[in-house]
Amino acid sequence: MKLRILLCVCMLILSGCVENSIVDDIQMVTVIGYEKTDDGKLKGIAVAPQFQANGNVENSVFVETAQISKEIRSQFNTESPKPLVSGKLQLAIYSKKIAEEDGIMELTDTLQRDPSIGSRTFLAVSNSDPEAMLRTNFGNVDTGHYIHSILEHNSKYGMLPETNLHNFFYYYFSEGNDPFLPLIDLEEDKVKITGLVLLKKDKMVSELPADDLFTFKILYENFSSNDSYTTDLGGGDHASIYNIASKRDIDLKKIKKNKITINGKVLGVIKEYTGEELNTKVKEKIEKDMEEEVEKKGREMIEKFQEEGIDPLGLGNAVRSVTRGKFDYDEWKQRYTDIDIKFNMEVVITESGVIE
Amino acid sequence: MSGAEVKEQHKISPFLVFYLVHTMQIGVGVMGFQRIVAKEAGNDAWISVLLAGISLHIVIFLMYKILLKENGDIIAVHKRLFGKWIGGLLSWVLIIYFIAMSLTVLRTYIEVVQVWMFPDLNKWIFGFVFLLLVYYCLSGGFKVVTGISFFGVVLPFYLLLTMAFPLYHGHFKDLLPILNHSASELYAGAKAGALPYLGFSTLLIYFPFIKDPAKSHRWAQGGHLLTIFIYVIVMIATITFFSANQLEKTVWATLTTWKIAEMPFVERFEYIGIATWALVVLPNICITVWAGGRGIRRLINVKQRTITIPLLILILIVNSLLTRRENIDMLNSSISNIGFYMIFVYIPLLFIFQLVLYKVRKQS
Repeated sequence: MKLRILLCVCMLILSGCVENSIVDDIQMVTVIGYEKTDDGKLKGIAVAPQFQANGNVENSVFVETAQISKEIRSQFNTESPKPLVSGKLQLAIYSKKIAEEDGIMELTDTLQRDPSIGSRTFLAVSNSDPEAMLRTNFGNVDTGHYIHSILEHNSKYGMLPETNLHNFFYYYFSEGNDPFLPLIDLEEDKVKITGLVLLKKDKMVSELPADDLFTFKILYENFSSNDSYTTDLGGGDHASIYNIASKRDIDLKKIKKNKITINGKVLGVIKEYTGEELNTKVKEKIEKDMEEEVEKKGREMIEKFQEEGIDPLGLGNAVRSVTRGKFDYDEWKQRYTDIDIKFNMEVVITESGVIE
Repeated sequence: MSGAEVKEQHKISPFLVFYLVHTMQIGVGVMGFQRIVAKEAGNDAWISVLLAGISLHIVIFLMYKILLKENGDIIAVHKRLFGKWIGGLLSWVLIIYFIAMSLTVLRTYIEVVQVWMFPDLNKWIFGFVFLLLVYYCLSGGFKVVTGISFFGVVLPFYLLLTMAFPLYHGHFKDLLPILNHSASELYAGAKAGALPYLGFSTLLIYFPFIKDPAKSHRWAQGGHLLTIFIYVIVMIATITFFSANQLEKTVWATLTTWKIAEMPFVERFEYIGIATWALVVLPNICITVWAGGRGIRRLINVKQRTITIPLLILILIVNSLLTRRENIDMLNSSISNIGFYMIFVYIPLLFIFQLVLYKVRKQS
C-alpha cells in the first residue's frame, strides 16, 4: 500500500521534470534559407508561421548574418519573442552562390545531426535571392508549407525525382552516386521549379532545365506520373501523352567491354492531338517521334554527365552491384568518363482517350 | 548453498520460456547493432547476422544439455564440477555480469531518451522511477517477471511493421552482389552480429523454475528463431536504406530509419517508438536483476527480497555516474565482449568438462 502511494506521489511530482514545449509558446520554424553576402558572411533566414485566432496565418521572418551557421541559430532566438524550435522544419533553401562556391554539406550537417528534424525535410537550391523568396507573401499560408507542397506533389506525382534530406545523404555518402536537388525560382509572387541542380559531392556543377526533367526521370528511376509530355510531330502538329508509367532497366551484361545500355519503356495515353485523324499509323508515328526525341535528349544528358564526371543516375552503384570482389571507386571514376553508354527508348501508346 | 529446490507453485509453464528467451535478446542492442556488423561484412551483414543466429541455436542446445544433466541451475553445476570455492567464484562472475548487463540496458535506454527526446532528462529521477517499477515487478516473484516478459514481447511487436518504411525507400541493389565478402570478413561480422543476441544466458539461472524443463527446450529455440527473423529483417532494411558510408556514421540506425516514417496522425514516429521501447527494456532489467539476486541468494544465505533493494540502489548510483557517451559505449562493448566469450567459449568448455567428469566418475 505504501508503495502504491509512493508511486502516485511520484507520478504527480515527476510529470514536470523535463522542459515542456507548449504549442502556443513556441515558434515552429518551417523553412530556413541560406545565402552568402558580398563580404563573404553567411545570411540565414528562418520563417515561422503564427496562426491567429481568426484563421489568418502570419509569417514571421527572421534574418541574421554571421560568420558560421551555428551562430545564426542562436542569433535567431535573440530577435524572437518565443523560443524557436526546429521539429517542424520542412524545407531548407540554399542560394545558388553557396551551392556553387562553398558546397552545402556544412549547412546540411546540422539538419542531419539534430534528432528533431525529420528525414523527409526537403532541400532545394534557389536561383533567386532566398531572402526575397521567403519574405514574399504567398497568400494566407505558411510559407514553408507552401513551398514544401510544391516540391512534394511534384516529386510524388510529377516529373521531379524525390529529393529529401535522407536521399541527399544517401547519395552524398554513396560513392557510386552523386546527389541532385531541385532548383526553384521566385516568379513574381509564385515559386516555380525551374530544373534540377546536379552536385558533385556537395558542390553544384551544372543544372538541368525543367524541360529535361522527364528524360532525367526516365533515366533515373521507375515511375508513374500524372504529368503529360508533349512531342512535336512536325508540320505544326503536336501530341501530348499522359498517365505515364515508365520502366527503366540498366543492362550491364557488357560492362567488361565498357558498354552500358539503359533501356527505358514508357506506357502512356494520348491526351491531346492537334492533327486530323488519329489512326494506327499516326499513333506509330507519335511513338517513334517521341522515342527519338527522348533518346536524343537522354544521350546528350548522359554525355554531359560523363564530361562533368558526375553520376546522378547511380551507374557506379549499379556496376558495383554486379562486380564481385572489392569495388575500386577510384578506378571506376576514371573509367566512367569513357564508358560507352547507350540509351534506348520504347514508347507504347495504350489508349487514345474516350473518343475515336 | 540454499534454496536449490523450487516450490511447485512458483514454477512456470514450459512455453513461457519462448518469451523469456526472446525478450532478453531484443534489448537496446537492436537500436544500433547494424553499424558494427556492416563495418565488417558490408552488404553481406545480414548473412553474418543469420550465421550468428544459427550458431547460437547450438549454444542453446548445449545449455540445455548441461542443465538437464544436472537438473538444476548453473550454480549447482559450478558447485558439482569445480567445488565450493572455484565454483562459487565462477558463479559470482556470472552474477556480476548479469548486474552489469541490467546497468548497461538502463543507461543505454536513458541515453537514447536524452539524445532523441528530452536532452534535459534527469538520470537520477528517471532511473529512480524506472527502478521503482522494476522493484514492484520483482517483489511479485519470478512468475510476475515472466508475465512482464510476455507483455514485453507482445505489446511492442507492432514495431516490426515500421521496418516497412525503410524497405519502401530502400535501394535493393545495395544487397548485391550477395556473398561478396571473404569467410573471415563474414566471421568478423558474425562475431559482431552475435552481440545483440546475447542475454538469453539468464536461462542458466531460471532453469529450475520451469515445469518439465525438457519440454521447454523447443520453446527456447523457437524464441531464438523469432529473434533471428527480426534481426535479419532489420539488417536487410538497414542495408537497403542507407548507403555504406552513411551507415558507418549512424549511431542508432533503427531510430534513424524511423525518421522517414510518415503517418497521418503523427509527425515523428521516434517518439512513439522510443516510448514503446520502455516496454522492451523493462523485462530486460527485471530478468537480469532477478537473476543476479537469485544467484546471490543461492550463494549466501539471505532472502532474495533483501538483496534486491541494495542491488537496485547500486545500479541507480552507477547509472547516474556515467555521463559521457564514450563511457556508455565502453560499458556496452565490454559487456558484449564478456557475453560473447561466455557464450561461445565458456559454455562449450563447460559442456565438455561436464561430459568428461561424468564419464570419469562413472568409471571410478
